[in-house]
Amino acid sequence: MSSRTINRRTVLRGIGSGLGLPLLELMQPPGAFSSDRLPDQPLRTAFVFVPNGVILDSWRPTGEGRHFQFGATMESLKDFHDDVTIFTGLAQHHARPNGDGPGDHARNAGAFLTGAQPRKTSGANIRVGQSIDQAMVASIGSATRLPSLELGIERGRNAGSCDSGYSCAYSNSISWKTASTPMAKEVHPRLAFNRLFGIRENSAEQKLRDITRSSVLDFVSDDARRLLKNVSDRDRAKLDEYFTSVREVEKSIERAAEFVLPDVPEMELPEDLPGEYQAHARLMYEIQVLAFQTDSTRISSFMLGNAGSNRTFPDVDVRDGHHSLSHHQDDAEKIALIRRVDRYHMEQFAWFLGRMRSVTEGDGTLLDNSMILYGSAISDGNRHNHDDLPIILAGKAGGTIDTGRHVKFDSETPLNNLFLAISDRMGADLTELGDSTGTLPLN
Amino acid sequence: MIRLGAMPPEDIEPRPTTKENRSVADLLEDALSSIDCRQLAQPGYPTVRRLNRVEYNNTIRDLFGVQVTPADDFPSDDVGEGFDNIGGVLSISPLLLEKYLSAAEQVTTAIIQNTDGSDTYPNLFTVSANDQTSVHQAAINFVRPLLPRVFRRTVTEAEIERFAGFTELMIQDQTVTWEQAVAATVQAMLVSPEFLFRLERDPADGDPEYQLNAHELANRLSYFLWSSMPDEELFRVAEEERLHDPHVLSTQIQRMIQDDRSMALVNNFAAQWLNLRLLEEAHPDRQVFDSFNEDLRHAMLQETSLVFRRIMIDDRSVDELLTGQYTFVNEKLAVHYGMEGIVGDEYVLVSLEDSPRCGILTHASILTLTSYPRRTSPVQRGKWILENLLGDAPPPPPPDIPELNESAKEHPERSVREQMAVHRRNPVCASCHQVMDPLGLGLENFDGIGRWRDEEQGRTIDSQGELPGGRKFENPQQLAEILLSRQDDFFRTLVQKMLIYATGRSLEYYDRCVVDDCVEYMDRHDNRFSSLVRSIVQSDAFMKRGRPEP
Repeated sequence: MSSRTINRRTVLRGIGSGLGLPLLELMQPPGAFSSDRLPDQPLRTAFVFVPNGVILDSWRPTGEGRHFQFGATMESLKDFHDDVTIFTGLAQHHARPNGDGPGDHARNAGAFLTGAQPRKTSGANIRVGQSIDQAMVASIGSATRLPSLELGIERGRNAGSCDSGYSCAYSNSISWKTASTPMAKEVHPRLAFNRLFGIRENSAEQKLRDITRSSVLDFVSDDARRLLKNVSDRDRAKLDEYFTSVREVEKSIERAAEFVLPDVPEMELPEDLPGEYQAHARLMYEIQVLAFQTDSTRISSFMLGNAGSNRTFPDVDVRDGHHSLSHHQDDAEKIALIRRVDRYHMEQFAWFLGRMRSVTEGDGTLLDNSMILYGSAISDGNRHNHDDLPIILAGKAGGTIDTGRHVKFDSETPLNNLFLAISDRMGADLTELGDSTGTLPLN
Repeated sequence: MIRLGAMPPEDIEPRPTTKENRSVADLLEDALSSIDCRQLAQPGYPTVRRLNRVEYNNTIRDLFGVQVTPADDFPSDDVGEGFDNIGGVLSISPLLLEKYLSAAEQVTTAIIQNTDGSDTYPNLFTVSANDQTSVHQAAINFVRPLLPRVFRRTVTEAEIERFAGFTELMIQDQTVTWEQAVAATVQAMLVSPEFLFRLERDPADGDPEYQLNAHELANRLSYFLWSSMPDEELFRVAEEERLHDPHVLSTQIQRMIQDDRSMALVNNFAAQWLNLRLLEEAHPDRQVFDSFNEDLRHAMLQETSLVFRRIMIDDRSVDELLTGQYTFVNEKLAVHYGMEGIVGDEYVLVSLEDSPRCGILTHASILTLTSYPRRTSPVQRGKWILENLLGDAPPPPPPDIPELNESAKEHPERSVREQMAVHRRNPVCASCHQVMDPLGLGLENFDGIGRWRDEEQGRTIDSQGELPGGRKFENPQQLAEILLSRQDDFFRTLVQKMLIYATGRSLEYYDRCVVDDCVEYMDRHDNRFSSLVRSIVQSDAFMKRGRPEP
C-alpha cells in the first residue's frame, strides 16, 4: 500500500454524507438517556466472554454506588475506578436447563449474548437466537468498513463432544448472525489483522481484485438463487447461509470502496498462533483497539476461551485445567488457583482498558467513547448458576453512562436489558432482544 | 432350537447336518428380525454438507496438483456428534466466504506460477485465443474439461457456456488479460456452491426416498474414504453407470482403501472417533511428567494411527484394535515404554507378547488424553471406554455433587482406589461409577502419560477389578479380553461412529436396523476392516437419501 497518511477524522468526514453524526443522534430514541451531553464521537462496543465463571467472593466489590472498593480479583482495575460500572443482580435465564438437562457450559456461551435457549442438538438443526452484536450490526453495521469483528483465543474443539449433547457450535460461539448461523471467529492474530487492514498491495492490484471479486460474487449468487428453488427446507437453510454471506461480502466490498483504507498501523505479528495466553490475549485486544481507533468497525466480540475451556495457565503456575478446577467443591487450594486465573484474565483486561484510554479522541479518550462488556453467563463455575452474573461495563459511552459505580439490580434482571441500554447508545434500532423486558438505566 | 439341533425332532430322518441347521436358523432369524426393520427402514436425511477444512485442502490438491493449503486459514469447523463433517453443524459465515475468495485467489496464483510443472492441471492457461481460435472458443476449450471435475459431476452444455461467458465478460475490460480472465473464471468455479457443497438431489414429490445417482455415490464414497473428490477412475466408473454394480463397487472400495489417500480415514475418522485430536490439547504438567515433550506427543499419535492403518491396509480383523499383541514405536516411544533395542525416529512394528500392553487401550495416546495434567483419572478412562468402545456413554454428573477431593482431604492415607470406593457409596453416583470406575482402575498401572508403574506414592498399584455381573480381571490384558467378550457392543459402536462419519448426520431410531445389518455382515466376513467399510457403503443410509422429518 502507498504510504499516504490519512487522518481518521478525514475518513469520518468522508463518510459524513452517508452517515453523519447528527443522524446518529437522531436515531436515539427520545429520552433514551437523560444526559445533556450527546456523543460527538462514534461509540464502540466490545463484548468479552470469559469461560467457566468466576470465584464470586473475590470478584464482588464491597460497597455500593460510587463508594465501592474493588474485590481482590479486580485489583488490576484500580486505576479504572471511574471508568467502569460493575453490576450485581443480572441473570441469563436461558443458560439454565429449563428442562434440557446438563450442558451448562454450552448453554452459557449460546445464551450469553442472545438471551435465547439453545436447542439441545449435537447434529442437526442448531438454533439459539440472534446475538446483540449482530442485532446491532443489522441496524448500524453499514457505518463502518467492517460491520463487526469476531475474535477468540481457542480454536474449536475438534473431536469428541463439547458438552452433554450440545453441538460444539454452541461452546465455540457467542456471536450469532441469525438464530441458526454462528459467526465464525478468528483466533489467529495475523489473519485478524490482515482482514482488518488488508494485505499491502498497489492500488491497481487492489482495484482488479475488487472488480474480480464483485464479478465472481455476482456470478455465483445466480447459482445459489437457482439452487435454492429446488431444495428441501433443511438444505435451503444452509444455502441461505451461503447466499446471505455472498451478499454481505458484496456489500462490504462496495463499502470498502467508499472508505479510505486507514494507514496500516505498526504491529508485530507472530507467524503462528502464540502459545502463551497473555501474549495471545493482548494481541487480540490490541487488534480491537486498532479497529476502533481507525473506525474500521465499531462492534466486536471476543472469547477469552471456549465455553468449558480446560486450558492451563503455566505462566501463573496454574497447571490443572481451568474447567476441572472450576468444579472446586469448596477445596481451598483449587479456589485459590481459580482466583489466580480470574485475576490473570482481569490483568489482561486492564491492559486493554489502558490501551483504550491511551488513545485520545476529541476531548476524551477512546475508552470514554466505548462500552466494553466483560463477563460470563455462568456465575460460579462450581454451582453453575446463571443468576448474579459477573458483569463489568467499562467506558462512558460518550458521557451517557454514569460510571464509577457498583450497581445492584433486583436478582433475575435480564442481562439482555443491559444489552438494550448499550444498543440504544449505539443508535441501533432495537426494542427487544431474546428475553429482554426493558432497558436498564445506566445513569 | 434349530441352531442347537433340538429341531426337527429326533425321529425325523434324514437328519440335517449341523451346518444346514445353522444356515436355516440364520435365514429364519434374518427373516424374522427384518420384519420390524422393513417397516422401520428409511435411509435418513443428511443435511447438505459443505466441504470442511481438510476436505477443501484435499480437493484442491487433487483438482490442480498444487501445493497450497488455503483452508488452514479458515475458521475451525464446528463439531457435532464427535465429527467435523456433519452437514447440520457446518455453517457459512461472511468471514468464511471472504476466505473462500482469497483461497480461490491463492489457488489460481499457485497454478499460474506452476504452469511449467508437470503435476498442475494441464492446459489451463496454455489454451488462449489466437487467429484460429476465438475468445469464445478458447474459453469453452478450457472450461469444458475443468468444470465437471470442479463440480464433481457431469455438466450441461449450458453450464459450460455460462462459465465461458464469464471469461468473455471479464476480458471485455481492457485492463484484464486473458490469464486474469481465466483465473477469475476458475475463482468463480471455486466459490460456486456447486464446488463448496456436496449437493445431492431430494426424492421426487411423493417418493419416500431417492437412490443416489452414480456421481453422487462416487462423491459420498471418495469423501468417506479419502476426504477428497473422486479420482479419474472413480469418475469413469460413475460415468459408465457401473458404480451401482455390487462387484464394481466392492472393487472400487478395495482399491480406494489401498490408495495412499485412505490415510484420511485414519487422520479424520479414527482420530476423531478415538478422540486422538484431543491429544493436541493435553497439557501434561512438566513438573510431574518431565519426560513429556512434543516429540513424544507426536510419537503417541503416530502409534495409534499406525496400528489403525495396519488393520485397514492389511485388512485385518477390527477386534485387533482391542487385543492386538503388536504396536509401532520409535526410539522415543520405546524408551517411554521401557522397551529396549529400538533406535532412531522410524516407527517399527514390535510384538507385545511379553509386555503388559495390548491394544489401543494401553496406548500412551489414549492414556494421556484421558488423564488430568498432573495425575490419571480412572473415571475419565472408564468414561472413554464406555463412550467410544462400548457405546454406553454415561450421563454427565449433576453439577453439585461431592467429588473425590473432599474425601481425599479427610483421609489422605487412602489410595485413589479407596477414595473412589467411598465415592461409589453415594447411590446417585454409584449407578454409573460402578461400571466406569473398575474399567478405569484396571488401567491404573499406566500413569498420566501412559508409562508403566508398579506403585504410586509408595503404594502398590492394584489394578484388579470386578464389573457388575461378577466378571473379574487382574490386569490390563484381562480387561481387554472382557471388553472383547462384549465385542458385539464394540462392533456396534464402531459401526455407529463410522456411519455418522460416512453420512454426516446424527443417527436416528431407524438406523438400528442398518447397524444390525452391518454387524451381521462383518461377522460373516471375520470382522475384517473392508467388511466394515463395505457394510456401511452397501446400506440404504449410504446409497439413498430420504425425506427430512417434517
